[in-house]
Amino acid sequence: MQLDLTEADLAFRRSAREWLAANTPGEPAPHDGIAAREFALDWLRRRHAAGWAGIGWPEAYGGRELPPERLVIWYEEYARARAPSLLDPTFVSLNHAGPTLIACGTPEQKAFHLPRILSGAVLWCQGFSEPESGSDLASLRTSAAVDGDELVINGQKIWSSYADIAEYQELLVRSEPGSQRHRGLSWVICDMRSPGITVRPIRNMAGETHFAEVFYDNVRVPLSNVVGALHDGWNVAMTTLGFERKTAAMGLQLALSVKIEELIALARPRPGSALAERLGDLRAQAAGLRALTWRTQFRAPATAFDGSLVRLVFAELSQQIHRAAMDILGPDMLAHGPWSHAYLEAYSETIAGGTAEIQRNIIGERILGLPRGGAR
Amino acid sequence: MTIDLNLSEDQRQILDAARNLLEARFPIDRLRNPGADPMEDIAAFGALGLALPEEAGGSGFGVTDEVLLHVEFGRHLVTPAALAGAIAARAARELGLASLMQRIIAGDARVALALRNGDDLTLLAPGGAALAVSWGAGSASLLDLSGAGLSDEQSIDDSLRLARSPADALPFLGSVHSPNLALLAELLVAAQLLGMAEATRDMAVGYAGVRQQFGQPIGAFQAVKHHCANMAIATEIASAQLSMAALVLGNEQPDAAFQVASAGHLAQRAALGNARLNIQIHGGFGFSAECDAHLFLKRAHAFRLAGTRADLLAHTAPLTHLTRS
Ligand SMILES: Cc1cc2nc3c(=O)[nH]c(=O)nc-3n(C[C@H](O)[C@H](O)[C@H](O)COP(=O)(O)OP(=O)(O)OC[C@H]3O[C@@H](n4cnc5c(N)ncnc54)[C@H](O)[C@@H]3O)c2cc1C
Repeated sequence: MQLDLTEADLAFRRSAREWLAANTPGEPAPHDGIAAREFALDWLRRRHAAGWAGIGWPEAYGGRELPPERLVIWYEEYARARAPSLLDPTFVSLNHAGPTLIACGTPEQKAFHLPRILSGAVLWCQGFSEPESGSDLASLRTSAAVDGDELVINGQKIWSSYADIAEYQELLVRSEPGSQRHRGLSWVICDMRSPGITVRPIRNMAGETHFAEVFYDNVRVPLSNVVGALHDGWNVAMTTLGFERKTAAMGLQLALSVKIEELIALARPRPGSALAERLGDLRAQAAGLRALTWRTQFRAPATAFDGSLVRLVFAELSQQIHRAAMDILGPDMLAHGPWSHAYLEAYSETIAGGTAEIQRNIIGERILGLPRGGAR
Repeated sequence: MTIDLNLSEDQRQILDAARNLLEARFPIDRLRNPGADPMEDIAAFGALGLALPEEAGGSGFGVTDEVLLHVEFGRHLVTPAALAGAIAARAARELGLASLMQRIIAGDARVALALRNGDDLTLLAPGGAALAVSWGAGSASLLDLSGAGLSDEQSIDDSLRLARSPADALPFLGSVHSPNLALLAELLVAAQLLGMAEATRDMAVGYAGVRQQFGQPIGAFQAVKHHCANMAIATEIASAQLSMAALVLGNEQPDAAFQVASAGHLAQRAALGNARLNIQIHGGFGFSAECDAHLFLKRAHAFRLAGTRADLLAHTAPLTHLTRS
């Protein structure tokens, strides 16, 4: 165990802090639709122009190849500056599609897509879940038939965030007819402007329309858009499962700490009161989550399922914080506002990206080694 | 910059040595025939002066190492006299009582752990103790037990004896203002509580893997599996925070008080929460005195009372620390 801080680190922190202070958008981000797209891309373009986009990505693709500890400093400063949420329309391209292409893409795929992602030219969405395949993702049925040098895709995806405003989708399909479960799937780059795609946005309980159903009717995708080997899509999907939250985990989690401090300032609880205890508990949990994130960043070799733990602690802490806000703000929470909105949004934390129940199964079975139960 | 919360090679070695000693001399089932834990072994291991400098008769290790040792003590429910000795040795040193410090480190002067309750004191592990140590808000005190003629009572925990006395009946050997020492004491309490949380998590997971009902191990049932997952989560978050707090305290960073308070809070929750779930997962056996589960619950209560209930809003919480000012 050790704790070091170099002058170069401090200089990096100062430059990040100064840049963010001068450039962080002052207005709140729009929640959905074209306005959300333009706001997110504009913010990404600004970061890219100043060299603050993809700072951990390889230099060959426009990144700066900075080590994880520098990323942590960047995300810390990002949260401190109250910069726009990292869970915006660019989240999938920057934190999921991009890293997947870096890990598994062909040189051509990387050369074409990565610079476009980083420079904010395009948006990506994720098409994994289907109406009948959510937690049980491996049961998915959307089919892709090989026809010459193309795949012909038919079926339906659902809950695909920002599908209505994205150019590309990372699409998981069953490419081998009659295959079962994890075998016979492929991970493909689908151009959302292809003929045969219909996107039907779905309103969520917070009143926004940022996820959608996507229908595929004989959609043709070149075989050269398959990432990794044909029929090996499950492994490609698993390579980046942990990425989804790990790289940005530090920033997301610090944003929670910022919220706790805001609540404490709002509530000004009497020392020793039940509310003071509750807010103190949230603070301690946030500190613990931060320590946990640090520990998992530098665990060598990384434990594959560390991500489940961090993810679950994050999700449940987020919900507790927003519940506390509901209690502190009282009737004000019935009106539209940032806190009431965030309170409703937080219900998705224990559902999206694997439900809390599934994460607990993973912790029980993969970390603790308990027997698997029932049919799976 | 690095904040590395994983173990170094040296730390692994100390831990292995400690585990060997504890497995051999302090197996949990020793507590079925209660007697005082052999403090000679603890002292001979160097545990009571582990992080004191070598020129002062200590072993010259760091706070992070000492914390790890006390996690192991917690796992084995080692007598609170070990924790009391480690704190008392430091207090004696800061008070300039060099020979007393030597006797404590050598295990010759046994130390009881004093819990304050208004004007009264409850002493844990008073048997054979020459002195007691207590701490609170930024200071630590040593109390002379030599002439006290204390009562020695059974506690709710058969393996833990206690004595009670009005505070003013015990003469002060000295009291020292030392915020770092008080924080260190809190940290070691948290370490012991974490050890209990780890032990009960392991007990529960072990039992859930072998106990069969309805033709399968009970750990295959999600209700049980998720209890275990919750034990793992509580333990992991407390463990990471404990390491963070130890690092920050060892480096005398300005947020030490907050980090230690957070570690204490999370460790208390993990120790008590896990102790309760562990009883539940063991079913009827868990409620019986033959199962060790109750021992962890009772010790967790005792150690929780030894730690102060810090006001977590009293300190500034750093959003980003390590901004060396
Ligand atoms: C805001 C949001 C954004 C999303 N964005 C995307 C996206 O961009 N792309 C995408 O592909 N998907 C996305 N999803 C979908 C998400 O991944 C799924 O909702 C999630 O995996 C759960 O699947 P489901 O909705 O079908 O629920 P189900 O799997 O039907 O689960 C229903 C309930 O049953 C429980 N359950 C199911 N199986 C088990 C089990 N084995 N043990 C215990 N409990 C079980 C679940 O925990 C849950 O409580 C998003 C979801 C949300 C809420």
